[in-house]
Amino acid sequence: MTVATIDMAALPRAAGLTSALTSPPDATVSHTDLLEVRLRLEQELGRLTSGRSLDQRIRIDSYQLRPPPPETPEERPFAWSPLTARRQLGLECVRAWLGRQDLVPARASELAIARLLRRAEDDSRPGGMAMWLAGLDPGALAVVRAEAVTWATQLIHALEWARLARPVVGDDHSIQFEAVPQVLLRSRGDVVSTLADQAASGRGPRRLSNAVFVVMTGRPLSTARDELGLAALGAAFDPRSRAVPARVVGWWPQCGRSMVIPVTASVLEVTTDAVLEAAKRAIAAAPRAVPVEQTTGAARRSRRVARQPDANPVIERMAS
Amino acid sequence: MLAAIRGEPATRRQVDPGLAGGLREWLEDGLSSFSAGSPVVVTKQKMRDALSDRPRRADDHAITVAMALGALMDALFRQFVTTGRIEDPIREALAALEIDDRRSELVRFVRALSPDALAGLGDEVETQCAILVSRWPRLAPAWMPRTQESIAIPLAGGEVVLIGVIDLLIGSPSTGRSSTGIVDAKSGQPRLVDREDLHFYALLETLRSGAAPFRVATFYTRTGEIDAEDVTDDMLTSSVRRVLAAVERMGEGVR
Repeated sequence: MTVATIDMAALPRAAGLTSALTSPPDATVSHTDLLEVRLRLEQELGRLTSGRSLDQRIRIDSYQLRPPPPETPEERPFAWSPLTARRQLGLECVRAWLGRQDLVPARASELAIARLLRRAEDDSRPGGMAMWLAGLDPGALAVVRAEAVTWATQLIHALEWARLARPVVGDDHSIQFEAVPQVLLRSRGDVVSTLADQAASGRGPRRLSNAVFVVMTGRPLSTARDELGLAALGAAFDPRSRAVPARVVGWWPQCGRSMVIPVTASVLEVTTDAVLEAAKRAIAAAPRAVPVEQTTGAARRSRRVARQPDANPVIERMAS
Repeated sequence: MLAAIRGEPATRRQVDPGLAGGLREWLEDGLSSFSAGSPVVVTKQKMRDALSDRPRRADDHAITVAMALGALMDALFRQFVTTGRIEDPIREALAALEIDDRRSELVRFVRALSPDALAGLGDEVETQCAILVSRWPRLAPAWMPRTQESIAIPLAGGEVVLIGVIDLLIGSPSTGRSSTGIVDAKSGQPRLVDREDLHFYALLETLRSGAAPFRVATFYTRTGEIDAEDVTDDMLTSSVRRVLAAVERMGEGVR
């Protein structure tokens, strides 16, 4: 797997990250390669989940790709908190800012939360972010908003947005293979940019036409490449995606590091191996696996069902 | 207040492209033989503890009323910077802490205070909040203020991690000239070590972003005063020395 890095001494950092994101594609993934990776993943997941009932579902996301800590605390079910809400709200802030640059995150966050609170008045189903926000005291709401502002500001500062072609903010993918309904594969992308040659011509090869930017947390772990590879895998398998990303750029704002992964068949293969390892761990710890049905109300509401041409997966996409 | 935070824009320095790398190499060299078995986390408090000549006591890190006051005022400072409003200080500050699982022990401490102690804490929070609201300026949106920004710098292959959470960071990333400012809010009496905390934060930001901030400041919610200074190379190099000295002491403690 080839990994490129960015010159950390050059300022502004955003210029280097943007150049890494937008440079012309230097790798290709053929349709055949993609199908082979997908077939192997489905077959292996099918073997791993054989005999497992349909309601014993497991979810594989970038967090699951990390090695479990030596003393794994009891996994708690998902709950909204300022930290779990900050990306979703932060992405809303960045989208608003992208449309109107006077809407800086401090103001955009206020509007985003107000919109969710209005939604909570009409939709009282429990478990969603809107209902959670509606139950918060102003002091707690301020923390939620502050976290989103900080996250959004980091993302705004990370890139030179004027150089991005048709940027899409928030591009997550949830893949469920029809043959292996027990497994939900989730990947996330924070910004997707159409690559320059494709944007200029409006034509060209159908695949390898964009690049994904992902904001990571903490510092790069040994699994960083797999975590970034998952962003490519999710986009590659989502029939609604118009392209397999040419590269994934990961950025860790807390330590200022970045990593560039050109997406090749080899990257998808290695990431598939990591996904299968994570699936094995999750199955071994079956009682701790979080059933898909226990995801939040917001997730359920935002779930959209789509069919591939071969009548395959159920797809969910949300910015969280 | 704004002038103190902003400093003199005309004097903001060009970024020395080799400075951040040089500071990092200095730290890496100093830590090259360090090994503690598991990663050592270095925070401003841990450095203070390590460098203190006072013998440590078992209750050194027990929660006190002063610590609770600091946490409550940090929450209110963050709220005021973000929303520009505080209506019910003690209630809103406690709600801000309650939503964070990591603060549960502190919240329990406050809830368990005697009525007199709680009233005393509430009075002080109200007083400091009034000072905060009357003295702290509304920052221009273009300053892009963000609060509680966490920085984590791994060194020595991850054996040592420098960690800081900056109360308020302003300014856009550098394009060649220093462009960010750091503000730390404190509820207690001014201490000499407050500046050392800021210098540590300036070092972290330099290592992370590749550019030193132009200004660091401590805002005292107790008095409404601000203590600000320009960031200099000497400030950063003395902070490197302090980090290395603290880690050495921590290593002795581990061994």
